[in-house]
Amino acid sequence: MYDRTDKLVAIGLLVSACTILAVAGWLKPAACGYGTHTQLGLPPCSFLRWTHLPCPSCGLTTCFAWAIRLHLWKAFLANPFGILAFLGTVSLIPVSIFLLTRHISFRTITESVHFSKAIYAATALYLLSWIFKLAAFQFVGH
Amino acid sequence: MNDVRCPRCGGTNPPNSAFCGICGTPLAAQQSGASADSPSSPGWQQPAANQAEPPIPYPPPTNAYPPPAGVFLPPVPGAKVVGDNTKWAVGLGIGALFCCGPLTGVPGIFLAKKDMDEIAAGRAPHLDEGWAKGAYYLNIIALVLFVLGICLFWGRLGLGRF
Repeated sequence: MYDRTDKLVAIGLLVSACTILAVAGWLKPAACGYGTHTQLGLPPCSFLRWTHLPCPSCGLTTCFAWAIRLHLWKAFLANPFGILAFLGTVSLIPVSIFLLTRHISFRTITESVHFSKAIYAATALYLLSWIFKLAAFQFVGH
Repeated sequence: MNDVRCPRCGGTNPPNSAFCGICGTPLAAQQSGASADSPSSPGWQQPAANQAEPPIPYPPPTNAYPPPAGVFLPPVPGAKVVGDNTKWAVGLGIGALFCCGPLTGVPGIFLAKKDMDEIAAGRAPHLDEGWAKGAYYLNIIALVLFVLGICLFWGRLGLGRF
């Protein structure tokens, strides 16, 4: 049953995706591969500060900033999982427009069994990406 | 008359049960014989063409939620198991607490909520509701702490910058 909540969620997804991409285009990617988000006034990564190792999300903002400029290799080096997240964010725009125009509830996606499996796969890729970053950090230093 | 043993989870059910009370597997094929043989058993033979099929008392539920493949069903009938969605939600919540914030917290909330909805609708009685709720609130707490950390950094609470 399509109701007002479904409409608001679809609009919210569309606005969020556009905002994220616009901010990524506005930010200047950090040369060291992480820390770009500090231009927004956000704190530096606490995990990195405490452990001197990058967290799984380190470099994600930098990755988006490079990917929106179509520098996909630099985006991959900043955070491999970020490429997938970037493509997911970009695809949110046509998906949310489709949901709005066809009056389809977002629950048809989230209640699908494939949605759970997609989250499992994304989490596994997120961890693999972290292993890659740890290895790169050890050998390259950043 | 002997109790009927479920071919899928091994749980015992009263005679003439049409469905396993633990996992929902149809038991209609078990009613005609004294053994718990199923078509997947090595000794099972196709019944003769002139043999009457045992009547099914009522149709199977259309919204049955059988446990996903690979889920360990407890040997004790009635015991609860932690759902796969809940297990992943707990892992995502721990990740959200220590480093990842909303990136893993939001998917964790979705997964835990899914299991909670299935339990509330009665489609997954074998899942542990306590763990599902715990995972759900763990992810919410992680998100709240993430936002609180940003607010503290910005000095909005008047405690200065770290």
